[in-house]
Amino acid sequence: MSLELNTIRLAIRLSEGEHILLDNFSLTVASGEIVSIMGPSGCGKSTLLAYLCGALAPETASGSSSEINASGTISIDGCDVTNMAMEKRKIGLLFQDDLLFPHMNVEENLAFALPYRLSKNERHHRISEALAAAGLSGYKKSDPRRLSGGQRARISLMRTLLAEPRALLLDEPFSKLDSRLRTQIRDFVFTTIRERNIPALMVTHDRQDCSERIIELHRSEAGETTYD
Amino acid sequence: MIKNTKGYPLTAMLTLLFTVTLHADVPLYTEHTEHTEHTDNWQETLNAAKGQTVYMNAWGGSANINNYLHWAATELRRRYDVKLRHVKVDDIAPVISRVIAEKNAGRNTGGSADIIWLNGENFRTLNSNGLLYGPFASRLPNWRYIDPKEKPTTVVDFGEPVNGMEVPWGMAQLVFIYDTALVSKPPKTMQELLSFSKKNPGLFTYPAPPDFVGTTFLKQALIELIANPERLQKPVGDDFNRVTKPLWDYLDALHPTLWRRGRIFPNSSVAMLSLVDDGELAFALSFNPGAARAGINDGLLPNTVRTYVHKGGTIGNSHFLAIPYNSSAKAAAEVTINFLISPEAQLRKADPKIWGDPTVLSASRLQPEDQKALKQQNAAASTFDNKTPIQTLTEPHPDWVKALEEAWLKRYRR
Amino acid sequence: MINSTSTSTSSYAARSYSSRWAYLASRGVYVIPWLFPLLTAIGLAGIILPAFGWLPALGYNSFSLAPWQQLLATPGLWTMILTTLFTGVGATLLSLLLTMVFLISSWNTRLWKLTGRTLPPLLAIPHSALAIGVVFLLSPSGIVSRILAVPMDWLHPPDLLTVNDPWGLGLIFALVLKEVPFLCLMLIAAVSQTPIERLLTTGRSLGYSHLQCWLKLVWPLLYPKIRLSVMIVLAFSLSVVDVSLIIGPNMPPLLPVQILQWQQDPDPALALAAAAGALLLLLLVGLCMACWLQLEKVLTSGLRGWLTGGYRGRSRSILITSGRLLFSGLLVLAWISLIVVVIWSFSWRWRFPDIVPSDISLRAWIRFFPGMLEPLQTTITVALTCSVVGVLLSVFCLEYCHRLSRWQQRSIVFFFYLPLLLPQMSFLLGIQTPLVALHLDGYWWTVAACHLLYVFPYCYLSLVDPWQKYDQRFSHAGLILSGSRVRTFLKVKLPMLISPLFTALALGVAVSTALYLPTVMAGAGRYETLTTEAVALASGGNRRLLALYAVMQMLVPMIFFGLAIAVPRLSSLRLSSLRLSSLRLSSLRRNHSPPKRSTHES
Repeated sequence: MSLELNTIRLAIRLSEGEHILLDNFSLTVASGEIVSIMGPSGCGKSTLLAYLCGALAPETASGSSSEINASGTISIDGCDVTNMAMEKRKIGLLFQDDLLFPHMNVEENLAFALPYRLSKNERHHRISEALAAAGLSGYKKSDPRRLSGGQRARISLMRTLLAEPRALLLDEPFSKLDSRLRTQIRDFVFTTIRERNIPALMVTHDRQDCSERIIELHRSEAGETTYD
Repeated sequence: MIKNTKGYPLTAMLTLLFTVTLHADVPLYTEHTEHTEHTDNWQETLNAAKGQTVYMNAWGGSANINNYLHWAATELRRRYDVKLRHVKVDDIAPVISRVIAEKNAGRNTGGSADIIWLNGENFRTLNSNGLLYGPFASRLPNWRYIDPKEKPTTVVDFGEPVNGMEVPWGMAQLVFIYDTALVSKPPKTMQELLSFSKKNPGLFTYPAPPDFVGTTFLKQALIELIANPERLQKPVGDDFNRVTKPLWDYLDALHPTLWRRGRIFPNSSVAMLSLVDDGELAFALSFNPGAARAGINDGLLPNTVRTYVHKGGTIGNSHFLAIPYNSSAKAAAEVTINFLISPEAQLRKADPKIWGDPTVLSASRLQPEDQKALKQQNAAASTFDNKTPIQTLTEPHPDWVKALEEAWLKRYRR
Repeated sequence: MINSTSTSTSSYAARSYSSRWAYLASRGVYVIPWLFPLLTAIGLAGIILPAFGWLPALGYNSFSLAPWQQLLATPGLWTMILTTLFTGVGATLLSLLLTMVFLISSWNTRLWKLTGRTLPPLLAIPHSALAIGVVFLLSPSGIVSRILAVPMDWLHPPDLLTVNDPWGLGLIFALVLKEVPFLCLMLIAAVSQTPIERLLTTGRSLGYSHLQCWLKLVWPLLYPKIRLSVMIVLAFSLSVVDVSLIIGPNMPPLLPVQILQWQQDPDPALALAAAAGALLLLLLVGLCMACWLQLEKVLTSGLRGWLTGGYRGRSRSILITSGRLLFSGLLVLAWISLIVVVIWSFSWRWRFPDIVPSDISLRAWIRFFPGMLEPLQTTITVALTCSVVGVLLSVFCLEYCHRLSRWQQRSIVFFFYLPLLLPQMSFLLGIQTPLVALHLDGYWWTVAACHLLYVFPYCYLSLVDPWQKYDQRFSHAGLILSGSRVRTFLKVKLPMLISPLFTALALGVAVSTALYLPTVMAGAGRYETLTTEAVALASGGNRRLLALYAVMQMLVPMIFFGLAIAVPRLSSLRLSSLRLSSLRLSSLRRNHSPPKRSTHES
């Protein structure tokens, strides 16, 4: 498995012309590899993630996102997903907020991500496995709002992985955690991604969080325009 | 215009008897002394009335009536410093219940209503419970223009002698309005109506009782359909089902042929006018012989509508104004009522451009110029096909109203 | 340190003045928790006692079951009850469904923004005016039928039951047209507190379709936030009188209308039947609410399997496009019906099947406007008084209620909303009985007080949010500078909240203008508002006049909403110096943390 970006171009539409955030950007992320993208706010890293996951795809370009011109191909394992709807791309997302659904308990949050038409035993088995991997075996029936930040972050990763993504995008996943937890969770996330052999792209502005391969983006010339 | 040529013996006798007693009650002054007597007392009334506010409870569903009363209020304020407030009600029944409630609650002064527009059952309810102020009719200076001999219904209300406890305000008679663009020869009896409606379904209906006109339609049908209509002058008895059977048989046959197949009925007779205007209905009912002309003038009806009554005549009555016993503005109420039966106000009311409600005054008692104006008005107002005098049928005993309404609701409200 | 500064800089007089006021107010606030329960108790007693035969004001001094026997003997009672339930529950369900469709299909589109802007004026229009518009639209001689007349070759209006139909479908339509905007607006407020974008992205990245994300992730979070509004809609739809009089069934009428007719009947025994009917209605509404809430629970547990079963749905659903069409269609219909009302008020002759009036003139306005001045005056004076008092009371409660214990605060809020959650007909009949007994009905202030019962909760509801969003640090800063709580409140807090305050005032006016039953029940027929007049005229045949009243009914709240937008802008010029100082404060604060939104968006 690998994630390939080819000649990506992102620009903010202005009343006259456009403000280019990213031009002719190409990158290949291998399976199990975690690539970090760093840069100050406004350099276009969040826009890049939005484009990759499909929030900026041409057919959903409406509302606020229509202010962006985006082009370039995205392929996973050689399969072009550029024009696919977000839900068809099988790209997992991890945000700084864990976004566990408050109307479901931990087990249900995980079950939500499982593929359709699995047998009852199989579902049960996979959920238990995921909880065990996260070190939270006893928390099946817990209310996610009662869990600590670290616990929620681990459940969130497990939920993303249960959907069997072909690639992972991480948007400043550790920025809301305190420094002690941060190291612990980062190690957990990185180890898990490598174990599962999934290509992952992470956006961050903290060098501490970075993995082995780092790409630094810089604000372009007309850097006064802030887009985040 | 409306003559009681075919009265019933009992009513006629009653009327005659009552007319005599009424005149016996009031000392037979000469015209001159009567006038001065009134002036003295009346001046006191006028003085007392100054600055008072009169709450007149009257049906408010007609713009013409509301506007007419608005005019009356302006004049009363200008001439007599009386503030007339028209309390517009959908139905007068709640007002009657309010007076009763006030009596029961011991609110014997400062009642909420000062003048009530009523007749029939509502008058009887208030009068028999002693809830009306009076007699005051003959105290009013303008009473002299009313001739009970010419218009007997001005002193007998649904068979109940009025005894001066209410003052007639207008005359009413059930009339049928039809659109000549849709109907060439209107049915002139209840039986003809049924066969017409069978042939042309959906063109006729009547307002749902307990609407006043709707109930009158039931009474009209009952009078026409039973062999012995005199029975209706007596109170309802055990024979109600037997007496009214022809009516229900008739309605059972009529309803499926009506507008909306008799599943719903208009809320009021005025609502029928707009249905005629739209061409949904070919007929409207009204209790006002001038309604068609007024409707044409108001742009509410096409000018192809005409008015007719059934061959044997239709039910007619008067509508009255009464003062509740606990009114807080009796003097102003008297002044208001006196103004409303003045030739000026009555002529204006009879004007089809204003309202078109026939006057209670007798032409023979009016000043020559008023007589002339009235005559012209009548000619202009008429939308009747033929010029033959219209017969007026006497109202059944008031008992029948409630009995018929309840029976109707039981049968036809599903 | 800050506190010590504030006490030392403030003058002694100002401090004692403000603290005395604060003291009195803080005492007064303890009355409020008891005021509304008391009213409710009176209202309940006012129907329960007469329902069991005890009504001394009408001469009934002993208890009996006669009112119930009379109630049960009413012809068509079961039809009445069933139709009432059908229309009430049907209108609520349909409104909720359409609101959901609107949300799912229009969120973050142009329609969403357009709706946010077009709904408030639609919401300000009284129910009865909209019902009149629907009659003009849908009746067999209405505008829809006129448009169809040419292709269908109709010379006369079709003999169809479209309004006043026995099933109440016309009524349901009119109610839906009015309730959907209400629920949508409540939803728009709820949406702003929910991270919808993130939920959708998360759901979709897990492979769920747009529609499935809405149904499984967003809706379960949004619905609890509008549950109270849904209950208000349910209670309202089950007990509506004015709309029902205009467009509802009349053979037999709905239960609330029948209760009103009994209450107004001269036969005093029927007043008891009215009380029994009102109690029945109260029970029906209670039952419906209980069933609704129970059904929610059953659905939540029953749908767990569906929720977490992993069904992703198809990528694009036709429901989204059709939902958008359906909703825009509904909006367009509502607006057309209002436009038709305006046209009717200017038409002298407009016969079927003409699509435009054959005689357009100002005659109706010139002729009937003078007669409208009195009801107009009553409408405006009552509405303005109520909303001013309502806003003052709301501000008072918002400022002082935090001194009460938590359960007291909760019970206050519950009782505030009670008039909205109880069937109007039952509650007002219960209030009216003691009013009549004490000879308090038929006064202007009684009418205004009854209006206040309904105006106040809405004023309060609209002010809660801006008050919570207000950053207390502005007041703290003001206190340091002026040393007076009262002055800080008047010069810092109020000017900053001027916009929501005016909106609350306009909302109060709109609510009061729309009220029918409170005027009828408390006014003893002596006070007429535009709404009571319009409802009375609806049974007559003069459409121009009816339209005229409906137009005025719409104009009054719209003018006040216009003022609510314009006045704060104008006064902001005058207060610009104040604004400037508060801006400086906020820029100072910006160094520590991002500023919270301090003023309400209008």
